[in-house]
Amino acid sequence: MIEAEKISVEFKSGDRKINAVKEANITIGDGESIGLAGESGSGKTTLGKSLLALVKPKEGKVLWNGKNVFKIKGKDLKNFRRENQIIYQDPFDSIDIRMRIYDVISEGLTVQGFSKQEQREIIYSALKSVGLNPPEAYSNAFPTQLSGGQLQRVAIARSIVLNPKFIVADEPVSMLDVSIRSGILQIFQDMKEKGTSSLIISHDISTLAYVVDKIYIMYLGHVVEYGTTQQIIEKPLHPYTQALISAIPIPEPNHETEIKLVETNEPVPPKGCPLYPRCPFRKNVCLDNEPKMTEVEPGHYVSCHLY
Amino acid sequence: MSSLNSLEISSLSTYYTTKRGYLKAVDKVSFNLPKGSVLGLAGESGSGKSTIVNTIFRVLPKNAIVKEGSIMFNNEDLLKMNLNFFRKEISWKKISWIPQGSMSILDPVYTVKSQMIETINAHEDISRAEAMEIIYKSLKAVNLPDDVLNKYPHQLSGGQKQRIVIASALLLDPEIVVADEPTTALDVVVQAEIVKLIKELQKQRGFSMIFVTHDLSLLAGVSNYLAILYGGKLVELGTTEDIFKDPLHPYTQMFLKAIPDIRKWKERKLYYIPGELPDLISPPKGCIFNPRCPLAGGICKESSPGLEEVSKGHLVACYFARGGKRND
Amino acid sequence: MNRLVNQLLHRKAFLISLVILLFFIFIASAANYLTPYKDPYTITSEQHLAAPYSIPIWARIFPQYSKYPPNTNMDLKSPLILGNGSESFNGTAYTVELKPSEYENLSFPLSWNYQYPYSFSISFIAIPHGQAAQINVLLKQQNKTYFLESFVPSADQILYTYPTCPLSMGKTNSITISSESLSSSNSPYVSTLPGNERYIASAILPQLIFKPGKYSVIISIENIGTSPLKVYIYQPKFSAVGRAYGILGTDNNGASVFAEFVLGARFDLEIAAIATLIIVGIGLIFGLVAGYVGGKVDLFLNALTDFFLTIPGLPLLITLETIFVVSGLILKIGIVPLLIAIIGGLSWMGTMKIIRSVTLSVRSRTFVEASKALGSGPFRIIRKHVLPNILGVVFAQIAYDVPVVILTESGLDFLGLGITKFPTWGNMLGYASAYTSPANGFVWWWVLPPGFAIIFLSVALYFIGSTLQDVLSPYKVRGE
Ligand SMILES: Nc1ncnc2c1ncn2[C@@H]1O[C@H](COP(=O)(O)OP(=O)(O)OP(=O)(O)O)[C@@H](O)[C@H]1O
Ligand SMILES: Nc1ncnc2c1ncn2[C@@H]1O[C@H](COP(=O)(O)OP(=O)(O)OP(=O)(O)O)[C@@H](O)[C@H]1O
Ligand SMILES: [Mg+2]
Ligand SMILES: [Mg+2]
Repeated sequence: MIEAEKISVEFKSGDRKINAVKEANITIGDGESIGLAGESGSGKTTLGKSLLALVKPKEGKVLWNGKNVFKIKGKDLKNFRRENQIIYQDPFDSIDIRMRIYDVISEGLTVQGFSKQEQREIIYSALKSVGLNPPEAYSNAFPTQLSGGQLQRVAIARSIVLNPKFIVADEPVSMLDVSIRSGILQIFQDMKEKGTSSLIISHDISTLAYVVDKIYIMYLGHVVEYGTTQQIIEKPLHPYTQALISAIPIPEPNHETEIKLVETNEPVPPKGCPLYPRCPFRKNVCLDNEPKMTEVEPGHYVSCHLY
Repeated sequence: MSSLNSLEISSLSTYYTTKRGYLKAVDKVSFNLPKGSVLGLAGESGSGKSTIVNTIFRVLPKNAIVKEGSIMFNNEDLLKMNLNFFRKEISWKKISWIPQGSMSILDPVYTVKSQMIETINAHEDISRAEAMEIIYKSLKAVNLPDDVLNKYPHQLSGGQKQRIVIASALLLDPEIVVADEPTTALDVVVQAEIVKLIKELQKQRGFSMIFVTHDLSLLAGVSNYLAILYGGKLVELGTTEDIFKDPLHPYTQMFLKAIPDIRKWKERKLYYIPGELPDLISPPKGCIFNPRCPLAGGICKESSPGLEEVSKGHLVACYFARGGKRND
Repeated sequence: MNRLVNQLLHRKAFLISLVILLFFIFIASAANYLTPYKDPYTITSEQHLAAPYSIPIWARIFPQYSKYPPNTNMDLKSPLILGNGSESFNGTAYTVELKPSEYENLSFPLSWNYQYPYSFSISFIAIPHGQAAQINVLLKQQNKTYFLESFVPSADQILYTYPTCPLSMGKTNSITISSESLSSSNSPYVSTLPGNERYIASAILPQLIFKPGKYSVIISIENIGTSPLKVYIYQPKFSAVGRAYGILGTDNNGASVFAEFVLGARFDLEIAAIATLIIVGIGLIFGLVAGYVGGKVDLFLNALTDFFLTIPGLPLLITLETIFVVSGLILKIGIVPLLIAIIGGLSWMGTMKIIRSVTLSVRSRTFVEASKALGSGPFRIIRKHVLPNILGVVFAQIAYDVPVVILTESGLDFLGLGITKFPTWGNMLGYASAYTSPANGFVWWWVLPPGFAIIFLSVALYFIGSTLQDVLSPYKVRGE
């Protein structure tokens, strides 16, 4: 189980400070599959990386089996790395193109002290399980010889060889063509059946809804709503979630998508609700007071002054 | 050419020369763009969408060759036209273009205003005041305030930049607009806004449009006609309604099934097309889709099916599509 | 690997550059075989090989140099005999037998096809047996005769109005008449010259005497005694120090420029190799650490580098040198290691900055973070991911730094601040430019070789560096 408490991440670029994540809480139970959605730049990747201590937050902590992941060292850290893995958004950037596929996948095993014989077996079976068959052919190839879809599978194989208990998957399919996306998502469903928990990050809720149990919605660094997939898809509460879901294109001729947010150039108020400028239901209270996370129905939380 | 069409593309083949040989990016593609309508050009990455668009605009890279075919516009073949004449009189003025990744075509060192004025001056001999008039009008059309004119591209959001690109494309009131993935880099909400804007503008002004995208669900709400590309070949052509309700090509059928539909999330059934996209330098023998096709029979590995009209205005290139003539 | 080599070999600029580099490396490593000389600056026997400022031999293809004489050394043979004595030749010695007041002239033909030489000399061994003999040596061209020197026994010297030199009867006289030692006190001809010419006779004699044409060297022997005389003459030789020498001519000392060039190449390349290793070593370590560790370490290393960068290099070099010279340290360590240390210690900053920036960019690539996420430590990441990805830049830096070192070192030498006692390219340039004048044709054969060598080597290394960087760049590997 991984639990993030009040994580805030700040980036400095030049003399500008970007609050990529603000006081975000997220809990991933054993065997749970969680979705994280939100617009581009809302802090999804940053939050996902801080869960794995790959980004250092300004405040807050992440607990892994009761230990703060930013403090662990040595053997503990190695174990933490083995049990918790990440798959990156862009396989072209996350794989060192100088290495053969075999070496790409074996890196984690080598670091974690697996012997050469053990490695071969594990790597071949992982390549098979992500659909790169025959494994002998792929393991000798260089990343440049593979397509984006194949490379993304390699990235997945690299993570699953360590048999992790938790995987952060950052937009695992957004680079891929529609016709092969589901093939990758299937791998995640299979892993879930084996008890691996996951955080799947995507700006595409319709894809998420097919595979995850719970969905968290982020907006400008804040988690604004979370609940079960059913709650979020069928009864979105936060105005942003509502807009997000109604904007999803529906594959049916003449279907009209509704646009529920206001277009504006107004700045985000410093103390109030981050959605204030674009919110169609905004009230005066929203300008000065940041809404608190409240449980509206069992398991369904939202931070909005409307509730 | 028929007076009902604003653009007629016939038997267009565009190849790229590569070290390994010709890459058949577009292979004998024919379709018409009826006046005042929106044609969706859909296909996955590498299917040749941008190559078609770049052929129309004659901006192909050096290693590209137009092997055959014609693109008729007002009874003239765009491909045979004098290039300078085409640049000055046709492109932007008669046929304008929203290129793929177009938000990055805005030059970061010039203000929006100077870039728009330059576009106008390249094609029309008019005064600055007149040019500004046109610019204000088109900004209004895309719902942007006038003050964006004095901003630099980096001061604008993705949605605003895309609006500016659209406004630039509409500056000279073209007859045809070709939009290559105009919303790909945008968020769902912004994407919905831009699509809505494009739809409204098209209705108001009545220009014809080719809307290129890999996202079929987006086209469902926008286009009147659909052309489905796979591996450089046109596999199916028809009205949007026909294709969504009754897809004939096995690729179209599987492609549509693979699109996630938020309304069906509870089924949790994921469909995908096994296999990989074909290598266009040494494509499979016979039908380009046969290695991934569940219906593929012996003939499919032998020869490539041509586009046949199955019902009125609905064409498909498949030996086994319902009603398709079988040659064996 | 094969693909890399293939790619490299397909680039013309790279190939040409490689050939140039290999050429210099060949010259440097074969220096001992290419030239017998070790140090023409200090070993005097390696100087005066030909006239100072001799042109290269091959330069005689140019019309203005076509008649420049090379070094000439020949045995004088088949003399014309004239006189009333008797003479015989047994293959090694001429034997001349003269009764009192008889004489015999041995007139050796000498055909001279060049302009005047730098100097010339006539030598032979004479063994006179008898009471007294006079041996005159003359040079004759058509109707002009130059009475160079006259040898008579000391006792008889007073009998002559013209200057004579002593001859030992019954002994072996090694006689050498060199234009450089002729003066009005030993040469009858010189003593007839007008006063001002007399003083500079040794310098102008060759010019006064030699032009293209037929000459004869006459050894004239006369019995001035009262009893019969027998004189043996051995090994009559004519030699001239030429004004065209070797592949690259000579410098102001008449030392071989080619030898200096080759020795300079070896020295410069050695010094460049060592200093470059120091530069790239420091640059790589600081750059990697600063770029990878980041934070305060980066800040510190970067500030340190900037500090070194702001120091004006040349003045500091000069100051340091002076300090070392004054303190005598230079004698203890030797100037060469000191020079290497100073150049290396003051030239690593650019390399550090570049390595730092490529390290930064590699570090920000996701695959580095991915490796960390798999549990790799910093050393493994640097070894497995960062280094291989910046390899091209490192090689390029090596290639770029070599010319920097050579230029700096040459610059110092040129200014007389570096190595002065050994030929280096910089020294060659420095001395050459000090001695250049219209009179010696601006010593182009002395100035151009080191100049071109520095330019060609720098350009070639630049191309090699940029090609390596290009070919080894990860983006090339990806085929973008
Ligand atoms: N290393 C960094 N340095 C500076 N700013 C950063 C860095 N990483 C992210 N940011 C900024 O932090 C904010 C959140 O970024 P993040 O990548 O987490 O968003 P995201 O939700 O994953 O977006 P996307 O959907 O585009 O991937 C953005 O404004 C981004 O520009
Ligand atoms: N300059 C080029 N040289 C060689 N091959 C090219 C070149 N440009 C494109 N191609 C190839 O031509 C094929 C079609 O490319 P095109 O850009 O038209 O595809 P697309 O359908 O627009 O794809 P996307 O959705 O990725 O934009 C692809 O296989 C691509 O790799
Ligand atoms: Mg992200
Ligand atoms: Mg494209």
